[in-house]
Amino acid sequence: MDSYGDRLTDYLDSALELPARVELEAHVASCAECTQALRELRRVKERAAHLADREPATDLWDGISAHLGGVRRTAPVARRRTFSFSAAQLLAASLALVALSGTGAWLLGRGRAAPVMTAATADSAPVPDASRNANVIPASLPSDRALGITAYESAVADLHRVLDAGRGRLRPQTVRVLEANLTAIDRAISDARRALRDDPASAPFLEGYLQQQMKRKLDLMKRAAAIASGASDD
Amino acid sequence: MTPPDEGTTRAARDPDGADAALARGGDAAAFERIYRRHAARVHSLARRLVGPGDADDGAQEVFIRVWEKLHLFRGDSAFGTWLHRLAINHLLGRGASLRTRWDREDEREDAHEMLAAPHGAGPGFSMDFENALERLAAGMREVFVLHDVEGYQHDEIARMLGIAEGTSKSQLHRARLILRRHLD
Repeated sequence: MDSYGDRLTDYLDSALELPARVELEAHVASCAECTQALRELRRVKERAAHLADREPATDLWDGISAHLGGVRRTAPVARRRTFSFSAAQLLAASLALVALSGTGAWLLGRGRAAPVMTAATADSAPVPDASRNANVIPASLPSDRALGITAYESAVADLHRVLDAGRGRLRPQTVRVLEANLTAIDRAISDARRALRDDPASAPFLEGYLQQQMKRKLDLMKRAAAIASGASDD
Repeated sequence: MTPPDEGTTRAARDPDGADAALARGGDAAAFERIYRRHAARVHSLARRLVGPGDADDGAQEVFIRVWEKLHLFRGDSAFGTWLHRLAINHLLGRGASLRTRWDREDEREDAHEMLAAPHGAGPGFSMDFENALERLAAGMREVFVLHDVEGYQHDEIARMLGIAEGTSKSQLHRARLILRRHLD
C-alpha cells in the first residue's frame, strides 16, 4: 500500500498517465488494502460532492440589513465590523469556557473507574448554573473582555493539569505532535496579542482571530485531556 | 393572449438578476430576497471554510460585501455564480492576512488527525463527516472544500491560496485519508 497509497488520489482524479494508471490498477487488483482504501477515498469524494447546504441556525438578515442603509455603493464607507466581541457573545463564550473549566476539574477529580470521557461527552458538557457559580460574570470585573480571557486561562490551566497527570498514557509520538501543535497555536495567540497592542485600529479583526486561536487550543487540549485521563491512544 | 414583456420573462428566468438590478438601485427588499435564496449555500460555505464558530460573521460579511459590490456585477455570468465566487474570495481572504506559514506547513502532523479517532477508543470518539471536515487543519480544509466540494482544479486552487500545485494535491490526499475514517 505504502508505495501506491499516494497515487490513489491522483488515480481517483484521473490525473495519472496511462502507464502509471495501468500499473496502479494491476496492483489494486491484487492488494486488498489498496482496494479498500480506493473504495473509501472514492466515497469521501462522492460524499463531499453531495454535502447538503444548511440554513444558518439564526437569521442573519437583521444584522445584514443594519449595514445597508449607510453604504454608498460607488464609494463604500467603512462599515462597522461584525466580529468584534459583543456583550452577548462574551457572555456565551464565558459560560462555555467555565463549562470547559468544569470539565477539566471533573477529569482531574475522577478516578480510574469513572466512565471514559469522550469527545462527544466533552462537547456536550453541561453549562454550570450561573446563579450558583460565583465565577460566572462577577460584577466587579473591569470589562467583559477581561472575563473572557480570565475564564480561558483558567480552563487552559485546568486542562494542562489533566494532561500533565495523564501524560504517561499518551504515546510519545502523540505527545510530540500535541506539543508541536500547542506551541504553534501559542505562537499564533502571542502574535495576535502583539499585533493587537501594536495596531489597535485592527482590534475588531484581531480579536476575532485571537478568539479563534483560543478556541482551537481549547478544542485540542480538551480532546487530548479526554484521552490522557483514561482512554488509550494506541 | 398577450406575450409577457421581455423584463418579466427575464425576471422569471433569473430572479436573482432582476432582484440584483433592483437592489443596485437601493431596494433592500430585493436584496433580502437574494439573501433568502443564497443564505444556506453561503453559510455552509463559510462554515466549511472558516469554521462553525465564525460562519455567521463570515456569511454576514459576504452579503454586506455583495451589497457594496452590486454595481460591479455586469451580468456576464449568472448572479449566483458571481455571488458565490465573491463569497469564496472573501472567506479565503478573511483569515489569509494573519494566517502564518505554520498554519499550512507546520501542521503536517496535525494533532487533531491523531486524536480524532484513536484506535480502540470506541464509538464515543466518532464524529460525522461534516464535523470532521470542519476540524481539519486550515490548509487541508481549504483545499478539500475547494476541490471536492466546490469543484475547483488544483491549478486554480494553487492560485487562489498562493501555494504550489503539488502542495494542493498532497493536502487533498491527506484530507481524504483523514475523512475516510468519518464516512457516515
